[in-house]
Amino acid sequence: MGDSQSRKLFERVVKEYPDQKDAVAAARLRLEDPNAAKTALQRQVWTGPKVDVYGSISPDGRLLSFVDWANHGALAIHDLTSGENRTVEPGGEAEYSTISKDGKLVAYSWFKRDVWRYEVRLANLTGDAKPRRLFDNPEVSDIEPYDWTPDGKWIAVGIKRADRTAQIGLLSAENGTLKVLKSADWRGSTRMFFSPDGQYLAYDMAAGDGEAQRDVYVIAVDGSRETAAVVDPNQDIVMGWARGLLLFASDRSGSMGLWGLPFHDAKVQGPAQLLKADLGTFESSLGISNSGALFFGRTGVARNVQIAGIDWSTGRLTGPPADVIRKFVGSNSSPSWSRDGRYLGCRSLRDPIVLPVVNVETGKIEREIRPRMSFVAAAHLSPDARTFVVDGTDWKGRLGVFLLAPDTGDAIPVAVSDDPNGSGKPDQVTNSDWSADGKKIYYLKISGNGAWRAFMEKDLASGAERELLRNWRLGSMRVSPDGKWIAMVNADSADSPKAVVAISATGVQRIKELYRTKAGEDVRIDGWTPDGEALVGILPVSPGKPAGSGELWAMPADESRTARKIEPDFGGLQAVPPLIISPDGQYIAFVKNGPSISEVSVLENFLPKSGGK
Amino acid sequence: MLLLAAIAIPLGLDLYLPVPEENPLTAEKIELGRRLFFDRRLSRDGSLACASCHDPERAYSDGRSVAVGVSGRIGRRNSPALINRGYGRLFFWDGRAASLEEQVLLPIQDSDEMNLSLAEASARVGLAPGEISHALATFVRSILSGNSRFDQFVNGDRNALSAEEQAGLQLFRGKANCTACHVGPNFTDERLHNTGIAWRDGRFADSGAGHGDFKTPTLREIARTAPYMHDGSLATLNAVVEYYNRGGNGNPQLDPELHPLHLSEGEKRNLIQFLRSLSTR
Repeated sequence: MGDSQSRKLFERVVKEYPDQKDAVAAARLRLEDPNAAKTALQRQVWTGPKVDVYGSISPDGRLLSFVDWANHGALAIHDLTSGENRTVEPGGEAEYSTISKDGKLVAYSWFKRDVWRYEVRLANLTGDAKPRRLFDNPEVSDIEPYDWTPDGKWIAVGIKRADRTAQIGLLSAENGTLKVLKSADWRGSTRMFFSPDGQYLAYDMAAGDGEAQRDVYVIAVDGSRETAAVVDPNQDIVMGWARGLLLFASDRSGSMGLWGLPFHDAKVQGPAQLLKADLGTFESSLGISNSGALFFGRTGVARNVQIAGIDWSTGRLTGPPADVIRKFVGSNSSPSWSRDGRYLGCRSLRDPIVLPVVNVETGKIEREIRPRMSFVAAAHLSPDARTFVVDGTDWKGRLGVFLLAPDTGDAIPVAVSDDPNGSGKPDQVTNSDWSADGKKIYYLKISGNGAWRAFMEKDLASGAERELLRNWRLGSMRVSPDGKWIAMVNADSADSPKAVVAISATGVQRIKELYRTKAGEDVRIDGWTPDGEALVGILPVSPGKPAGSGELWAMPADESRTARKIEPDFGGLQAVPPLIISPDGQYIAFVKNGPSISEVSVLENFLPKSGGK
Repeated sequence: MLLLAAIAIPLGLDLYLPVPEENPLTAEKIELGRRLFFDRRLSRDGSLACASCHDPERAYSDGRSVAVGVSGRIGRRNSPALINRGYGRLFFWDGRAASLEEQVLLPIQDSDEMNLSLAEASARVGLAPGEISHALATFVRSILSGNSRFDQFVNGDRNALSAEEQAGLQLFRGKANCTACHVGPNFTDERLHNTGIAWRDGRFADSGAGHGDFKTPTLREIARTAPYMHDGSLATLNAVVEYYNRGGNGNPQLDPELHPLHLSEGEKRNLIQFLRSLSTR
């Protein structure tokens, strides 16, 4: 189609379909710059195991700050030109970082494990790094630096207070003084970016306490006003500023596209323009270089839940593994079975997170629960397949174990992390699971100082809690299909061997030791056979071994029977342990890792010739 | 910019105070609103002003269980403290107003409160209803409470709270689960919750926003705003802590955050000590 013909069509869209704002915005873009779609270039600039998206791009677009997780969480710089990495501050736990507009400094959050909170540090990017503390306050549990003002005097920070309030603040780069601009709900912004003149700060925020979807706002740095820049029912994520445009990503046109909103003098000056129809999947913007190139990235591994039939008498699969959940492909993990084995639930790590429940026989997704939570670390389907108990973080910022309301996904606390002694190191609760009858929830309580772990039981009807076992180390648990026993890994101290114990879940508390490790061994509990045998993997002490390595033993809780070794033959199956065994023992469910999806991309030549002014 | 010139934001509150575009905050409007706030002409019989139920000496509450309107009419609910309402998102105990501009006109017209039509109010004070609304809302928006000993503590003065108060703060954030609702600089999530306080004899004496739920009030200046709860049914902070310690009044819509707290007597004392640190005098 010729340019003149295209121009006529775009003009018709603008004239005749004014109510279709997205189409009109796209047409205006084409009319303004007919070559925009042809010249915009998106390309990968960094892939591989080191990729991390906690950092930011330098103004010249050459350096990217990142957390070097393989180097114990060091703050590091990746040179996109040479591909080389260099460490700025080793031996710690860096997180969010941002490079100053003159490219000379980097500000970064640094986790202080001894007091269980973050501080902000500064380091030089040329010469001696000289890392130094800029901000530390016992009342601020988390602080994330996102951007610098052009004059280098202030750093935009996201804050989490000790009461879990999220705040937007300005941190003086000179003396560490903190000015709080705005308090939000318990969830903060994904990123923040100063306008080029440094007078405004753009950020995104959840549309409400009950919403996962975000909108974009611009607040004056003197606190005098705020503008709701992009408020609509779509997912809108702030990406930065360029050439008079406030850039944001939005799914308003179906896929996550990049849009530019003319913004000047504290006001939106016109409709948003579509700049790039589909950015693909990403976690956050890493900033915009002086040349107007947008950097963004994502990390992770594609994951799917599969099931396979298994014969425990031979240890062999009875058929090839198959994907059981054909929706949200690439993001599914944490499988769990219903009591009757007809349903499988899992966690789809998407935005927002979804917990699908699939009928294993038909493959039909029976329901999807959207947990009203910030993060779900693990999800366990209830025995009746109606809901889940989850480990994670609720929208109030509380870590803990939550029961989800089946209809709404509301997170009802079962147990939340607490700091009863005010030590700054809260006791954590995690590793939840159901009793076989669905009337109780089991979970682990881990002391903040690491001195002990307690295996807890909570009765959902009465709310009564009781401690079933306490020791230096307790591992994850597996409840037997008949609900009578709970298998658990247990250790008396850091140096002592680990024991596999079966805890009586009914009536009088009784603990039976099934196995004790020898030197060079580790153990993992995979589940139970239908005959009441705990399936215990005895593994060489070597992380990263695939399932099936080491030995697999069936260890009966019934003392009259003897343990037997199973010779598993999973046909080269590369599954991520543990294997989740169906209640009848006929199937295993597991997570299969796909390829790495970690990458940093750059988008160039996407800006219209004229900006927002 | 106008905002910053008109009022100072005290320590502990957000620098950004939301102000509607159509009602900018000016010193002149604050003063006009202040005069209207104390103007008894805004009640039918000239006996009451806004300040009659929102006394500055009581942090803009009135010390009664429930409000008393013109001709001694007894209201249903406690007069809430008008503290930091400029940061609010819901107004009235049941959250039925979405802005201060909307809220300030309703008590004037309520037959159990000031019982005056807007037309008559307008005629009496010589201002259009919109001007009354804007001025009163602006004045209420200027009522700020911060810089308490708690604020000084979180801002770095670690001696601003006593050991008992610090222990109470720890309980507030932890075992007592207060921050499930009383969160942020203004100690409220601005949401509606059923705490069971309206549940009497198997039914709601007041259904609030529909399910016995009422807006979380601020805790700033709480030592000066007794009695407590939407109906003023708890006379002291001790009674409030005892109420929550037993998990509230069980009812079908009770907020799931409420459960027995099992606080010891010492813990209750510390919690109350901390709550008192939120008042500026």
